[in-house]
Amino acid sequence: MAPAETLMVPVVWLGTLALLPAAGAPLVARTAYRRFAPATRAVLAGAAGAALVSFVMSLFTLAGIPWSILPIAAGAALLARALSALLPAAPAPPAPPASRRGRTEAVAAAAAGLCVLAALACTLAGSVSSMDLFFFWGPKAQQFAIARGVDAAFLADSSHAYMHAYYPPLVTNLGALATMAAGRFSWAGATLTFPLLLGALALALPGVLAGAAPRPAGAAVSALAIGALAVIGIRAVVAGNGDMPLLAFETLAMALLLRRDAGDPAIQLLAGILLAGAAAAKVEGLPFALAAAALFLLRRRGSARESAATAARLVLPAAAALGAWFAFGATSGLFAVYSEYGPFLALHLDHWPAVAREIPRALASTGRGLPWAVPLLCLAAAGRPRRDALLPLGTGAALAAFLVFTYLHLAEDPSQWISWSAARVLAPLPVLLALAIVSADASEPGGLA
Amino acid sequence: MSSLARDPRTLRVRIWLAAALLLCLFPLAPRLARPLDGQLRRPLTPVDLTDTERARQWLFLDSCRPLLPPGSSFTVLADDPRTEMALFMMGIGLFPSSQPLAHSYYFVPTPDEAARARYVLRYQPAPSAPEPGLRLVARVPGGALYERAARP
Repeated sequence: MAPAETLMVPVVWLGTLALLPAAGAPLVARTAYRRFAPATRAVLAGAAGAALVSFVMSLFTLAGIPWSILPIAAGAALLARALSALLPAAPAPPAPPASRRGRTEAVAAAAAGLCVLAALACTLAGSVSSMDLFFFWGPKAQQFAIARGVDAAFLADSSHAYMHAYYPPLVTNLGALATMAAGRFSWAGATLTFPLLLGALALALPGVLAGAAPRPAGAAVSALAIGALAVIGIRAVVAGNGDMPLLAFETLAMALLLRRDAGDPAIQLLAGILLAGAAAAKVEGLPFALAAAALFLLRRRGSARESAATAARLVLPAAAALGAWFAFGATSGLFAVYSEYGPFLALHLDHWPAVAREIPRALASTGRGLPWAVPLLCLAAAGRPRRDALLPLGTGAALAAFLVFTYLHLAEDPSQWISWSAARVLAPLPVLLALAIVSADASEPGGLA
Repeated sequence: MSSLARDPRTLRVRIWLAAALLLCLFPLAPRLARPLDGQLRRPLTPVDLTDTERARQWLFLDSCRPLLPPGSSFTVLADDPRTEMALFMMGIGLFPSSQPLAHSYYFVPTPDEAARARYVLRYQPAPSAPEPGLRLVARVPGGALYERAARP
């Protein structure tokens, strides 16, 4: 860690993130969510709280209100409470069974725990720190904390062009919140979010998937997803950048949508808030959210009214989060759309051979391609995918298509760009493959049947 | 026939679990193959084992930090523009209370901008000052810090 950074700085910096579950608690404490075990509920509350806190911070900036920790946390908690009031009253769903964990689940939990420890050890050793943290994620969060808001003048400075002013705000907003509490930015604290979020996923994912497949299958698939993310995170050095928060939102949202009770408005609203978190974390979170919502709607055909309500629950939170961000971009004159590499449809198709060659090469050089190959082989071994698998597989295909589309935008040869980014931005694919495997076992009654 | 063969579902779950264990052990294997004492030391910078060149650059900037007065302006000089850009970008994060002024930006020289800087951070310096009129403040690991004389 940086020598000048005492132990207390990362402790306070990371400790501030405990505000996130508190902010999301008024929603997740509702009876409808008691189907989840307390640990799963705490992680889901944290994820929802993160999306809501970031949204409130964007609103404060838009309204010209200087950031202050308690008003932001209170605003997010009030928003969570207001959202919970939108849910129809329903009888309490059955609580998760208090049965003892079976041998498969125990081995799966141990395997996932081992992955988290490996990620923690690598982070503490300084071997997985993302340079993007030191180039722009960290400096932006630090500057926003100093300015007590998204600093338009800082982003507009021509010397800060590489700061990517249009990048969605969640990661820098939350980093600024922690920085305001700690009194300074913590590079160590920021890198530790990688094992922390991986651990949170390992804790929550089996509980969420228990509603989609039998518990042993959900636990094994969770461990598979955590293993893939650990290897990619370690080999593609993601600690401290926006990739792990994005992956956490995407994984939990998709797992919620795969549950048998995903027709419940409470599950859909929570999934919509997490999709909003993904869209507000990184640019590629938006195509993920749109594809997931569209495929979910296609899979669950209902009346027009039901479909409209489902679409609203899944899409409106992301529309609100990005609406606030683009309103800030427009009013400050900084940006109006996502654009850095030219007009939307200005593709350089002559780069297609380089893109087709470099993406597999980048994946093969990250953990020898195992994080992608192993879930793919497991899916193949699981037999013919059920219809439910179309949701994660279709979302993965849409995300991959979007990323190829993005690479084809660069006027110069994109080979180098692909070599250092493809493994990170395609990290959701192994998770989606693993979640597609779940559907192979979904015909059996699980914990909620 | 074993109970495992009778229950393809159990077999499948065990395959997934074995695959998960394979992936879990994969990141550990290369580390366990090396002596642990070399890996269990406290890193000097957050990028010690990510990028050794960036780690040296980070140490240089961090060594300059106590010598830069709050609110001062600075620029960074290096022999190649790629290093200079990286130092400039990291400097913004490491010196939040100072004003960074680029000497070059993405390989494009910006000498007029740099000329406004009060302090000059020279990475891996030559024996003499990088330009006339600079006073050596201190030599630090990886370089030196200079102060530009105040204009009359």
